[in-house]
Amino acid sequence: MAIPLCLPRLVLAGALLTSTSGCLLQQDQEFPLELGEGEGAAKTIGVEGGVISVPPDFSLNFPAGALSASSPVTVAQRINAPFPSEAGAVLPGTAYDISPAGLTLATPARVEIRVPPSLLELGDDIRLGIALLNPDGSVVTATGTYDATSGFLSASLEQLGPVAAVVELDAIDVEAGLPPTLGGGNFAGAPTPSGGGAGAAAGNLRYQSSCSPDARRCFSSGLMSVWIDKVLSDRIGESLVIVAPTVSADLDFLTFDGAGQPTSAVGQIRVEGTLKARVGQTVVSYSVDEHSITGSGGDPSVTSVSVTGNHMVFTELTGDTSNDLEFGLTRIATGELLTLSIERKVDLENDDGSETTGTVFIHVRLRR
Amino acid sequence: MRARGTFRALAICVALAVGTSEARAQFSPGVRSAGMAGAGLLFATGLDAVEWNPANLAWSRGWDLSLYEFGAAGLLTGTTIEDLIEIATAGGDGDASVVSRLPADGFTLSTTLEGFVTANAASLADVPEAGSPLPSVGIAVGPVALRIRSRLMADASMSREIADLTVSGYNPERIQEYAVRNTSVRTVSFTEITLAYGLTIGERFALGLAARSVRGHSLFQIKFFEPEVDLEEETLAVTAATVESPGGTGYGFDVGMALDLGAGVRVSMVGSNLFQRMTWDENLIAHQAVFSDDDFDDADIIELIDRFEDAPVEAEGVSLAVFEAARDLFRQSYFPMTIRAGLGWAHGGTSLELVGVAVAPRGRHHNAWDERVSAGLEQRLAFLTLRGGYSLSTDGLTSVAAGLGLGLGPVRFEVGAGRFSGTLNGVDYDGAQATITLAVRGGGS
Repeated sequence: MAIPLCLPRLVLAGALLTSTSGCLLQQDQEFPLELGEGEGAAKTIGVEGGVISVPPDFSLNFPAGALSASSPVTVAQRINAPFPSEAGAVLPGTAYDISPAGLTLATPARVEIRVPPSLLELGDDIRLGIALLNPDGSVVTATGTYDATSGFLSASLEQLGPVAAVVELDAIDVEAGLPPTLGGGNFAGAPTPSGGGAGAAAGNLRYQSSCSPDARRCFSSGLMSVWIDKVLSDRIGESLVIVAPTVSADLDFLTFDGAGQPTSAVGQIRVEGTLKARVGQTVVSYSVDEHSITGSGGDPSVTSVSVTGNHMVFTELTGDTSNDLEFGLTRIATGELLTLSIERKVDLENDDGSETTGTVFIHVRLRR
Repeated sequence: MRARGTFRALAICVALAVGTSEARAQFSPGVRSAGMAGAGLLFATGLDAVEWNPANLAWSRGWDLSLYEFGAAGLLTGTTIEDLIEIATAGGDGDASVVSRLPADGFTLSTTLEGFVTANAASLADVPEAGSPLPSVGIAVGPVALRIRSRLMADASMSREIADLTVSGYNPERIQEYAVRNTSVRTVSFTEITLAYGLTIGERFALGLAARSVRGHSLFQIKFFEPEVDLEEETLAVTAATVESPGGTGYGFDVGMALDLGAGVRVSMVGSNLFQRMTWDENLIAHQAVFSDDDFDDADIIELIDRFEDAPVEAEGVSLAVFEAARDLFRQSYFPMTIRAGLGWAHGGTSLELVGVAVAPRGRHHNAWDERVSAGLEQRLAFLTLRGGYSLSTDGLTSVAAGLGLGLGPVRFEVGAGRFSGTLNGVDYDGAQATITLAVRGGGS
């Protein structure tokens, strides 16, 4: 094998050497889709839509009808002005100015930013989002999808302005497995604002909590915890977070029985966010919006409550969750925490056409 | 369950690319060398000498007119022909052991196919044609020859996960496992017009020159991107982007030498593309499509192809998907310098050749099996010619080939075919090649 190839290889090496020294070897043809270093893009986008790009790292695709009239659009990498850090950890080299800033689109455009996996630390991929800086200085972060093979982060954009790829800081880790059992408790042991004693039925007990990316953050406040059972973790993996979580809960217990447990309540609990999971080589999103309202629907109305052990059963509770909620009361230095366990059933299709049900457990903590 | 159709369609798209390239190419130029496993340098005559050694034209007599030539070759890396057929025909209900035999990176298929016949076949099948190649014909008269050859070369890769989907069908319980990864296709289509001349210097030495004009018809790449999964609906959407350079021009020069040592022994050496240039059209055309479940359930393959709408590409208006598909389009998109050297012996109707081929590391337009050592034997028996050969390439690939020539007066019908096989670092090779020609010769050999 070596001997018959020896001669042609030797000659080839000599020929290559001669060609190289004489600059006869062909070089790669220049790739026509590269822009100059730091160069931006300017283009007029019509009502029929179009793409503006700063290759190799950015593109913005306007669908037909996104703009009501032709408009000049420019894109340039944001180099001099920093992107607000409250949007999350801004990934270096991923900020772009899109103008005209503040222009609202009739149909969302699709923005794509290349985020090389080398920029990411373990677990960052499921927290990626594209932040938009509004003219008023506020920041909105759009969750999207991330192709880990190509390094494309894409999201919908409803308005033009500066954008950047960020690792969202306000994200709740989703744990695999069952949540800890809540211990229930007796409301009678809690001090009542109206001054009633233990076991007294006088006065209401109102528990509230709220957190959101724009104000008090859910991640740092500890008002929300999430688990998925084995059925779900087997299907979609164990790398999950809920980004941009929002909790808005207000539950007012109005009357109590002789043991001090509530017998009626009014209020609502709302949990929103985007569940992000890595499925195969792609990070995908699933919108979470659990809204439980006492009463038969619409505005909250008074409903009966009965407490048995660590379960609180609402006679009428509108929403996707069960009206039987596990609960736990915890005394803290400045008051009391009421933890409610919200369970959401998720039906999964199997290969044989049957369905398997998984469960998402969300613990929401309300404070009094 | 709806996602089943998406993956089936994706598999169809790749299988289409794989399938259309299955019947491609020439193992090496000429039916004689095809039947001798890539040997054929030393005693190639007439039109065969144009690409094997133009110096041999100096000793050619009479004339040689090629009427028809069709060659096809395909090399599978990572699977076998039998398993590929199972993957392509499984329809979601195949033998899962086929997938277990695939390496982690999936498999690739490298093919070369005669361009003119392929383009016409594509036209009949109503699938996109790769330009308008000229038919592969040629004429040699004494020491001068003119040859036109069109080729379509392709490389297709399919990830193991996509192969798994094709064989076993979409299973929502395995949604974590599915990945497109390196699934892609690249094709290049071109026509070469080569004018060659051979002259003797003294009685035993011959020198040959060949000048080649290359007309590129299409340089094309398609890339698939990871599926977007809708967890709520359990559906999938797959983006595919293609980019094409619709033409190109180039040229190349070959120099060949042959020295008769007496007693039928000859040594030869040829440098192909010692100097060459290939420039592709930079006015790229992009095609991008997103396939969702609804698009693919019971979809016609032609409908899927029609979803790729042509659009011109410019730097300030290219999606990242199209950019990614185009990224390597021009990388080494030219022909490598190749050196062939050999020793041969001929006596009466018998000839024996030992040939080594070295390929320069720069230039992608060549076959994966080009760098090799080949040994071939040819025996002429009246109107019949028998050939056989064996080759071993540097990456563990071996080939066994055989050929048959039938001469009816001046008309010659010849066929050469062989089988590739081998294993290197645990990766299997498998493939086949075949070439048939119909030619008219007269006035000597």
